[in-house]
Amino acid sequence: MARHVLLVEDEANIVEAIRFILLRDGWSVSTHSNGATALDTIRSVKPDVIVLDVMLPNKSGFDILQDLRADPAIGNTPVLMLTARGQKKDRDTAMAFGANHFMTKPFSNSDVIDVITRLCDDPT
Amino acid sequence: MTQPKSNNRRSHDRRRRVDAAIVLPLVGAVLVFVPVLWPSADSATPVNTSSASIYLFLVWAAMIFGAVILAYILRPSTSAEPSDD
Amino acid sequence: MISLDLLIGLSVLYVIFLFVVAFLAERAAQRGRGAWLRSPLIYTLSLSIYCTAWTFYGAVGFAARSGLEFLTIYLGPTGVMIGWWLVLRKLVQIGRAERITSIADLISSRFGKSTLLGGIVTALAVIGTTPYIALQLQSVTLSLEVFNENASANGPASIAFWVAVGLAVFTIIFGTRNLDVNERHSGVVMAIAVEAIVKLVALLAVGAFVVWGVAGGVGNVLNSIDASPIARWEVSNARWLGLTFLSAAAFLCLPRMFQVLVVENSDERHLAVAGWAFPLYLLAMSLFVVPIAVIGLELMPAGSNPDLFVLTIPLAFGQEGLAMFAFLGGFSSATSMVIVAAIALSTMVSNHLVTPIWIRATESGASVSGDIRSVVLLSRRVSIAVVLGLGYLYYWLSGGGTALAAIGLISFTGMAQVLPAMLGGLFWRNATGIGAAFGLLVGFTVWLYSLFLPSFGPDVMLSSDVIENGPWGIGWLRPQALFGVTGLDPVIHAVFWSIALNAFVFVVGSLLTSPTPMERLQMMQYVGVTDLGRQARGRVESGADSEDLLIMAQRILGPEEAQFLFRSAAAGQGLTGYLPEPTAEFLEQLERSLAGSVGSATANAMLTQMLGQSNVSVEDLLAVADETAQIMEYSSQLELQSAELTKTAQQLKDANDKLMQLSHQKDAFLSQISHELRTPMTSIRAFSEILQTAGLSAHDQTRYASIILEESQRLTRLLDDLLDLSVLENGQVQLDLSHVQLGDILNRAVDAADPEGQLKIKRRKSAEDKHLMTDAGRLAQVFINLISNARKYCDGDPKELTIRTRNQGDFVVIDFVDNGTGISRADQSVIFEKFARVSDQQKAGSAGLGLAICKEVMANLGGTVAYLPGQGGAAFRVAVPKEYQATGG
Repeated sequence: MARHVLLVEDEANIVEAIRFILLRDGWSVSTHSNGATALDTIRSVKPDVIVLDVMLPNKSGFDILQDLRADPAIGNTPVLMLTARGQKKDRDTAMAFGANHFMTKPFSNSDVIDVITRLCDDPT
Repeated sequence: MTQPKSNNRRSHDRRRRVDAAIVLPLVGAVLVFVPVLWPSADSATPVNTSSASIYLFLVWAAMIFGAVILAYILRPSTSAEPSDD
Repeated sequence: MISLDLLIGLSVLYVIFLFVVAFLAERAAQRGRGAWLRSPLIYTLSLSIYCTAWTFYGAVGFAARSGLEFLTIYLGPTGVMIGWWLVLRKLVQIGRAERITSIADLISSRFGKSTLLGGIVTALAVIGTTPYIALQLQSVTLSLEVFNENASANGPASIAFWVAVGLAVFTIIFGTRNLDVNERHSGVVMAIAVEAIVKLVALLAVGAFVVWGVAGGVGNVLNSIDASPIARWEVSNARWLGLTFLSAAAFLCLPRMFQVLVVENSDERHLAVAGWAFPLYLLAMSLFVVPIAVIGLELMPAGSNPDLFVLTIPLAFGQEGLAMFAFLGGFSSATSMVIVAAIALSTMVSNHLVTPIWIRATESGASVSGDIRSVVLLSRRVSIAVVLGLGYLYYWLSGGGTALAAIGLISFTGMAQVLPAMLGGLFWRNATGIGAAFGLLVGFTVWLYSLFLPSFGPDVMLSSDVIENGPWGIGWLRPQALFGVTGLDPVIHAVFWSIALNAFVFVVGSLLTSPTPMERLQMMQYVGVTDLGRQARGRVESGADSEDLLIMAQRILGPEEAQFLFRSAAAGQGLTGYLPEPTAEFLEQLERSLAGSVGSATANAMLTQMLGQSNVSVEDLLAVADETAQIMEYSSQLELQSAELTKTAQQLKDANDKLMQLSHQKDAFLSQISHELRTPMTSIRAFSEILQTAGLSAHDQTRYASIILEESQRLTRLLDDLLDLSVLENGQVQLDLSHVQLGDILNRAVDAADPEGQLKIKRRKSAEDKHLMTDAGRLAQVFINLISNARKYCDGDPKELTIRTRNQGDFVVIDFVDNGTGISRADQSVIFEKFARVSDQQKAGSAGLGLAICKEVMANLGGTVAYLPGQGGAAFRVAVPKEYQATGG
């Protein structure tokens, strides 16, 4: 069974690009764009890896990450954070909140695939 | 350049102007009420209406003249009054 | 013989002329070209409403009966004007500072904004002025009869009736156009200034004709005087002193005089000029009175009415033109008095009788829910009609019999009852409202009993038995010989007892009662310690919402003025937009502005209601602060120093906050820019990489290429905007100035911003026919932004956008109001910041620079754009100067 990635991102074009490269690489993909309801989706989809944007409408990616880690049922899911702001402060925050990896946009497609694969195989 | 002394001097001048503003209506009142002291009409030496008219109109004109001077001397200090705004 | 039709036609033409003068003056004032309307000369001339028809006709009659005694009526006001420094100056200062609207308002406001006192003074003024208005109507009728005995064929009452109707119309049109007293009645004042000149020149012309045309020179006139029945000085001392005092008091207290002296005064310094110029005017008005009286007595047939010599002498010598001019002079005197008296009385009636009752009647939240403005305006208009109606009724009932001068003096004495309360209020710290109320009531009662009621003659109001023997035969209570004081002239008798008892009761009442906290605060405003009082006073700062206050203020002051007030207050606090913090100072300022429209008592009540403080709690708080206030009075120096220190510390703190804020803003801005640039770059890079790999379908290839294109365009737009903003912010922008029509620019903007017609746009094209000299492209850019925003963010269904335009001074103001839910208070302050976006970003599809650019464009065009709260939906106001003017070289 194909491993599952949940993509939480609100920019439609970016969603489409990441979705395309993941599908091509043999992953199954679901997407979500609203920060407020992202956790519910995570709970029902139970993805193997989450790709999480920081700047989301209604609830920021940092807050979602924090709540995610506090929930024992899904708290161990590996998370790749994406941000377009690219400040060191953001990276530190993400790591402190328990992100497994942090990437700044724009990114190379192959890097994304590599990181997701690695996270799925060995979250540490 | 303002000398240290001139401040005192100015406020003194100002007080004198204000005094003038108070004195003028008082003097006017005294002059206007002089007819009260005139002999009554049935006395031996009554005052004629013509002379009375001339007296009163002269007093009146003098008061107006005084008020013109008052307006002139009070004008600058009025506008410079700190309480104005 | 001059026909009646000719005279009536002349009067009508004259009134039309006044309409035109008033209209032009009003328009000039509105366009801000009215500086000369507020000159000391106009102010002085407007004071001439003191000289009514009573002066114009009656002074000669007065002189014919009692010689030089008539001069007292002019010497009293002369004294007041010459001594302007003593009383008038303070009255005008307080009137301006406290936005006093009438004499009733002054008394009410001084004694703790008391509704009761306002009502008493108003009632007194109405009763005291009604006979005086009747007198003016009578004089017009009498003067018409001089020309044609048949004038009264259709009844003198009918002439008086139409005069009253005409004056009511004029007064309503020009007297109630705007509510706030700060926008003074420029039109009315100008018309009155013109009438002042007409009546002066008319009387001087008749006088000159009598002296040089009839008597043959000054010498002959003096001889005639000494040969006349009034050759000797026989004025009683009591009357000479008493009437001078009475006229001085009336000059200050008559509602119409208070109106022109204090309410219409636009600059305290005008007093210095009026201080000599108005006495000069009075002197000129009285110069020829005795000669006209003496020559009339000598040459006119025995039994002719000396009140009408001014008309009958020229007529007897065939000078019909001069007689008609004199008629116009008398007509002027009558009309100007009635107009101003009606304005003053209607203000008092509506502010002190109607509005308080109305507010009480609609108890819950009247200030928020009701439209007070229209109630006040309507009640003012109705009051004017009622006041003139009462005057006419009095004339009709009295049949117009009594000698003119008698009514004048009765009226004077009635209004002079306000004098003790007024002077006490201005200069005596311990005066109390209860003392003032009792003093007024006692003085008023004595006046009614000893002068007003007997004036109708025996057996009309009071039986002859009561007048001769006193009620129940008690001689000491005879109305015209109180406490056994017999042999005194009735008027002097009434003046003496009414004022003396009034003042006595006022003083004793004040000493026996202690002022309420509210009165103490007002006392500090009035009696000299003004600056300290201002600090001590004040509402408790409360959770009042500025937006609610603005909504209420708009109802009362009108939207333009309210918005201006709020905006400048906000600017004073260093805020942008329309909503200042509801600090104590601001609330006080607001209360004063409202007081200008509805009177201080009402304004106070309304604000108190709005702020959710009951009167009791404020007073309780003030009572606690009472002792503190007393100590503060004596430690003013200390207070000032500590205030200075606090201020400096606050400034330092503000500067520091500002720096911190700027640093945060810089970080946030960089981070935002980064985000906005990287987001499209991400898509572009990802899809470029995808396109490089093989095996894509042709459809996917096209689609991904178009996404790349779309995102590059987004990137370009963002860079353009940033560049534009940077140019605008640095003021390096090149403006492309041209002459354009506002309507054209709006058309362009609507086409560009909403090509598919998703918005229902409501415009009034006729109002958009405005000529501008500005950069049309830049202005259109702002409009496009605002219209696009409405299209994108408005959540009304169907979406509607109303565009309203109008002139405001040198500016054209364009409001864009949509029917959505508007923008929340918190967001209003940030929408003009860079990258501020209120609703969710997807819909916007832009970087949130639009309003920031609008703001900069408008600043470059010399105008403004701001959010307009309290309009229902989201509303933006653009103000653009009609003629662009380069600033700072």
